[in-house]
Amino acid sequence: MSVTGEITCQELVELVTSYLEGALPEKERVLFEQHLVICRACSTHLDQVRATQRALRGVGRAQIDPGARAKLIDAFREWKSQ
Amino acid sequence: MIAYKFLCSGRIAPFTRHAWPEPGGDWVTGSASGATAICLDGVHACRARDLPLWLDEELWEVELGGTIVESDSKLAAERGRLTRQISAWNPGSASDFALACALRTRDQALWALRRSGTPEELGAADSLARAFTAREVLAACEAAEATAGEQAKLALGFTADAAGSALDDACAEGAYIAAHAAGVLHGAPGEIAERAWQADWLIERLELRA
Repeated sequence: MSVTGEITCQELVELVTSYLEGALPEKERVLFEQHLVICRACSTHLDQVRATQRALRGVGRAQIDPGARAKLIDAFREWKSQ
Repeated sequence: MIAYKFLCSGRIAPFTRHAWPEPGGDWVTGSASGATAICLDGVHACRARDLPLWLDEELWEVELGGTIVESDSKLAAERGRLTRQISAWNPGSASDFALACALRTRDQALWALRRSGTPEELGAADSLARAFTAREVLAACEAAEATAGEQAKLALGFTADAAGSALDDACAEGAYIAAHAAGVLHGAPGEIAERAWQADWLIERLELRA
């Protein structure tokens, strides 16, 4: 329990993208950041997602093999339908 | 307005990874204007009473300017600049703070052991009360656990975790555990009081403006 509420590591992982896009409401963002203060593993996870985003920024569409692209889209659709 | 800001080593903002200019340097501005946007995108800092929630490696005094928005746990402003580093916040004082939090959590366990009051628990409380280092606290918790009742066992678990945080110099974690333990054992007022005690400890030790 916490007076201000708290989030778990699993919840933080689910919220990372929204956090990095600045899409979290104020209250959730505060809880997200307060979790980062006390959890080194989640801080590392956030750093890793940031690093991945930076690395992927340099990859253009034309560089992705069409077969690999189709597989990724299928996998994403399957995941979303679950 | 003068406020405080914890940063990672090298004046790096812990969440945005923004590298802050040296004290007396340029103002840092958020890209936003308007109170709501400042909360999302402004320069963030905190009051002395908020410090236990945002602990990190470096503590800085920061001057805030423009529109300033206050929330329960922080401040957000249109612009800010560092004025001085609080040098009293360093690995030594952080370690002392972590131990202080572990001992506060130990006091919660003492309360639970004495409240339950079986002869075994009273004996364990006597041993735990004589533990003043993180290792001593950890050893006393382990020894007491076998004979402790349910609530005391929970408190001993928190205390062992807080002692472990002190051994790792993980003061933010230790402070959280102490507040969480107080909240579990005494409800929201307990947690609020514990965070207030932590803020007072920091204000006094670091000689900050309350």
